[in-house]
Amino acid sequence: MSKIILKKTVTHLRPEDEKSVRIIPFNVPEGINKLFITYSYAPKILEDKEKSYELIKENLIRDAGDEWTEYSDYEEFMPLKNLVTLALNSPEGYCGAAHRQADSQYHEIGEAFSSPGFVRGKITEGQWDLKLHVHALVTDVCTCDIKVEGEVAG
Amino acid sequence: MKKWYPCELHCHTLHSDGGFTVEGLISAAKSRKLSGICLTDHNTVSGWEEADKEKELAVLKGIEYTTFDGHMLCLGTEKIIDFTDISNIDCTVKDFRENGGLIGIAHPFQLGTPICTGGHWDYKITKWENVNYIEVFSEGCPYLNTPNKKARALWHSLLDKGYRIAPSMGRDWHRIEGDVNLAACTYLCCEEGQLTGDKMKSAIRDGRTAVTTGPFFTFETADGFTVGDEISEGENIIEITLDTVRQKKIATTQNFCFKEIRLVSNGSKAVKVIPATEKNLTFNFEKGQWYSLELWGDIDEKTDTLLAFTGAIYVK
Repeated sequence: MSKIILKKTVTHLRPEDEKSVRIIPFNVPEGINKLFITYSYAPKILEDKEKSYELIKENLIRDAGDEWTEYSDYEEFMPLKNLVTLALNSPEGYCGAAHRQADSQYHEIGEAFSSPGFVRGKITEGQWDLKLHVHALVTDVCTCDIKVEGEVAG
Repeated sequence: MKKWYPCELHCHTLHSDGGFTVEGLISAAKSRKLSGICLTDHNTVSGWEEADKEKELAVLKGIEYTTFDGHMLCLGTEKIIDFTDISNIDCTVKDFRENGGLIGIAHPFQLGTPICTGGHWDYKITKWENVNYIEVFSEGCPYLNTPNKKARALWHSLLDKGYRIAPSMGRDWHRIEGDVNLAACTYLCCEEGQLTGDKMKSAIRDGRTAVTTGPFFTFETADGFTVGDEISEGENIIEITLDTVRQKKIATTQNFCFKEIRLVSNGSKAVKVIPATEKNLTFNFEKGQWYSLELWGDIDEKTDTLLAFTGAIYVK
């Protein structure tokens, strides 16, 4: 068994990317029977307290309406976090997502087993898409490191 | 024969951001004396295969579409999408319904991004007839806190407009740690016998739900109609069920004090109020109105709050 790198990329996200999707296509050649995805992003946490207060206040005014002042303890919402989750599409369609807070993840996709969040299935050749779902981006920049490897059958 | 079953309609596992394995979730549900759960991981159905192995607890398989603009529960359909493909919420909801799914709005007034990403419902639904249920009580604190108060008002306003939507309580169950109000759940009225995911689905679709912080609370008319049904106008007697057996086994450290029962109708108006000790209520039901029965009282230090309420019964 040997592994080949199918994609290796670094993506920089900024606050304006919040609530958007970043698609990272990669090609799977014939003869691959497993995929391995190594993913991390940093920073995870917004350390700047003053900025955190501002963002929380904005959030409360927007979503709590007239009752926004009922939320007096801003500390309970801290630290604010970036949340950039991974989703995956095969040539056949949607394979699921790893919707969780971990900022360092490793996933395996295959016919016999897939990591939690992704449905198991045959690794078909063709274009696959990794998708970064940018749920929250609270720091000035967030750097996402992605590596996709394929296990060569035989 | 119909029977009411305690269920948890909003659960997560390690397949998204929950702390439970699927097996662990099922085991936790059994120890809470729940009869059924909905498996609703964020944006994935990878836990369904493990859930299929369960033979005792009813599992209705679903997904929580955790989008940037709201969290939508979708139950009982094989049609699965990437939420970023949603371009028109009404079309998406209609499509799920046409593929056999049920649609629920999760915690509509939760705070959104960045505090709880996408948690606040910001989609503009125009075709509410395609929505089956709204999480009126959410999370482990299902009293009338501000978000739940607003969710109740939203639910009532939609009933006023003629939409037949069921209420639910969703614990949004991720892990045991930090759980409060352990007996809170949604009761579903189903055909008696072994509960199944399909029976749970029928109950939600037909609006046969009752929401509670603990006690089992529902009603039936003298002629056998219950929550979700349509009755004729005129005087009717409703028989009230207020049962604390499960609540006392599960919420062992909580003190409940039942004070009054309110029959609530259009415009959120309490049209009749009786002491919680009463076993039945006689009322002249008006044409074209909806009615929900509410139980008010205290739970620990929280006084004069909404403890339980039923879905609506509709008058022709």
